[in-house]
Amino acid sequence: MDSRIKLRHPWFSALLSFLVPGLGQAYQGRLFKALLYFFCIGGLFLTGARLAEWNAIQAPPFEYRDKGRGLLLLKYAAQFGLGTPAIGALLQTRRYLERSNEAPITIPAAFSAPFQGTLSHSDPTNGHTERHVSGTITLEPFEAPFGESIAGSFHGTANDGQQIDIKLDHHVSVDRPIDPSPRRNVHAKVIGQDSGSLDGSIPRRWQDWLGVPMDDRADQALQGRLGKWHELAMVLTWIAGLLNILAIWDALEGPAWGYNDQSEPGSSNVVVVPAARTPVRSPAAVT
Amino acid sequence: MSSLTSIAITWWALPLAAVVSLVWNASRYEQTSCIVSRSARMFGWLVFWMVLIGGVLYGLSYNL
Repeated sequence: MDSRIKLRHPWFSALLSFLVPGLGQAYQGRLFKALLYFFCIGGLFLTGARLAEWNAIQAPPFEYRDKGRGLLLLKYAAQFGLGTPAIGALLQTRRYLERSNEAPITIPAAFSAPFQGTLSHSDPTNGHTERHVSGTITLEPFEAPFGESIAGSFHGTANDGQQIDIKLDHHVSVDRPIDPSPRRNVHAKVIGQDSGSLDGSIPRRWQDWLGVPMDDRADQALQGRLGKWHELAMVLTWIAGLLNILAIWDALEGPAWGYNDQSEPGSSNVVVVPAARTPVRSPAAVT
Repeated sequence: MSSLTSIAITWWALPLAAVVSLVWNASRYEQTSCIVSRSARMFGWLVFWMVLIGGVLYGLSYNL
């Protein structure tokens, strides 16, 4: 038995390593390994997730997908070794599939948000004009005779420098609150311009898009945009998840071979700290 | 353009091999110097085999 390897609370440490790579080893005081696992496995996963535009994990149940559900489950199983993002994606999928996650008819209270998009307008003399605009959009609940809806206004500037200050018709459509895109689409008609409209997006809160699953169309669009980089990104996240299983096992059972390559192979050469609290008598003391 | 993308993607095999070597050996040994030396050796072998297999595949697909 090699007393140089001390595994403090193995099951708890394994759970910590499951949640964050290397955290269990840090808890056990094995700092070199903790840093190695954290930067290697965590860095590999974050690199893959970043390459996939933070849409790397698709969690079950795959009700939001029509095809390839078996393959999706295999991919998720490989990523599951890295606990926190995998469990986070499970929770986000639950939120995404909730009935309440649909384009709202109205909103509970008025709010303002930075807006980017295009302001288009058509008239017989100038034809169709389209300008990029950015500024602040204010949306508010509207009580119409036929029911509730959303109204609002926009203040900002166009790309030609002109100041824009417009009121929006009370049929503003806003995308559903929880969606994998970091931006939430907004469409509105402009009051006072018969054929004017404002199309663009406002930022979504990070907790409303990060780890949210993609439907078939969004996934195909992402794969089309990223090409081979998407495949690479996914491979990196799978390998990170599988490698973290080794780190979890290391926190639970210690190194697979031994303290170093001079040790006996396969010997269970670790000391579990709770068991070591009872004083160990040497053979000489027993006799 | 696509061949340039392929080359750029191929370079990703190096950090990936380094990470796999380090984590694999960290899960087998406890001593820091042993982990580092074993990882360096494994990384070298991984790169050697990748270059060898890549070279063979490149040779077989030459002029195709």
